[in-house]
Amino acid sequence: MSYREDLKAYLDGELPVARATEIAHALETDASLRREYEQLQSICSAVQAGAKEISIEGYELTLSKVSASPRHSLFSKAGRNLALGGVLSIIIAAVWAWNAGTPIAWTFAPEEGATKSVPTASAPEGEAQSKSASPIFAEKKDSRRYTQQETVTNVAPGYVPSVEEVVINVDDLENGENSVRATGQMQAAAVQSVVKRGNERVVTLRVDKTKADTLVRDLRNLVFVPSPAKERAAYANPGANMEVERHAGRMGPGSGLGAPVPDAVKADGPKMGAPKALSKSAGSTRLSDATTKREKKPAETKTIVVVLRVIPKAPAAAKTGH
Amino acid sequence: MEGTVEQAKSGDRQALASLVSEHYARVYRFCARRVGPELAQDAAQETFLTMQKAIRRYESKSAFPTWLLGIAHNHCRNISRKRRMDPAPLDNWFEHNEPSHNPSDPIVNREALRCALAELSPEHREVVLLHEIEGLRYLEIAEILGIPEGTVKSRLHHAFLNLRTNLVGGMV
Repeated sequence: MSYREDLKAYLDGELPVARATEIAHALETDASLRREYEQLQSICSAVQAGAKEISIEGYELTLSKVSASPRHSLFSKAGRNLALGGVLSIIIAAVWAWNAGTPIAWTFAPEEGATKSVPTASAPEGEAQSKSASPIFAEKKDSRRYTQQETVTNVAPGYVPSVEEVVINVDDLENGENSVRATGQMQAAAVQSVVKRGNERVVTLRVDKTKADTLVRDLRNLVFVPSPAKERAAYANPGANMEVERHAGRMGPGSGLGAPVPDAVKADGPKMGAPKALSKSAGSTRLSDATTKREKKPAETKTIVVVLRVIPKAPAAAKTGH
Repeated sequence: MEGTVEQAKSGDRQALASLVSEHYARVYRFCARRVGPELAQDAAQETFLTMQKAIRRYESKSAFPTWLLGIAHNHCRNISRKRRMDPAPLDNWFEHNEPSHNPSDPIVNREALRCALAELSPEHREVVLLHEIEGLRYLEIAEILGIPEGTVKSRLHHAFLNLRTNLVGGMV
């Protein structure tokens, strides 16, 4: 290492004695090195002379703080983090416990007068819930669900069903369907679906609301057997109305077209019996609630469900008996 | 002083107050030269509060003032980072003289020196500050900055080499 590299350290007195002695000897013999050394001295002196004067402030305050409140290890950074973690854990546990203990129905409390649907004993509650929550087309997969009798109560006051059903007894289903189609076309009705089921055929028509009454009248005059008295009784029955309402919720505007018609929609038959107990199922409650809200809106069109039914012929033995 | 430190380590408040009285001015100047007088009071106060918490861990491996200035250095560095400041701005520790009417006044040389100092890298300027202004030795600077002593020596050598190069013809 050259002497020049250690010149500053020599000037600062930071060199070992042996090295300092070497440099001192070199400075005596080397004029340029000595001049460089003197320049360094001058610069050091100039830097030190240029230092700013600083007046001291805040001594008393610092002294009082240090004397007054010694900091304990409890309030160290680790202690603070530990305490913060504990508080957060308690909050999370409390929120979790609160959510776990709160019934779902609390969030979706039904309105006063809202309708509720209930699965009967023939269908498990879980299945009924999945039915309520599933999309409409999923119902095609399991026709057994249509046979479940559903009972509803608490029909909203002033409710007007947007679905009307006409049951027609016919000899031939094909002819009956063609007649229904032709009659519907006269009132500009659209055939939404045709469901073939055993000795029945269900034709669902959608027609303008103003033409619905005419269409229903034409349909009932189409064949000779008018709608049975049971049908009228069913519509007069609030429970029956609710069955139609639930059906309209699936078949109504915006709910998708072409869905099969559940048996529960039919106004005749023993399925439209007395109302049964309400279920406490939150899922069913939510669906009925939402359905009722939809149905309260004025419908521009009306759905006519035409049930064509083949009249079973009397046995030949009975005829011969007469 | 070692006895005072030992007493302070055992929790003696009087000893702690003595340490504050003894070192406050130096710590305050150290902080003021780094973060400015506005923030120096807070930095010095935090330095002594940290000292109070950590004095039990002081093992006398370095001199107590060096250990204390190391704490102050960390606080000042954090403040500088938060405020995105130069770690040792020249304005905080070197006089900025206004032009003088006296031609024999060495102020011209001082201005040249100021310009030369401003051209140094922050690392070089920092060791110049610590050695020439704070009066710390190489080993103390190395402990405060956490760098080898040889690095301090090298930085100082190159810093003054640059200063001398820039000032030849102006000051000398």
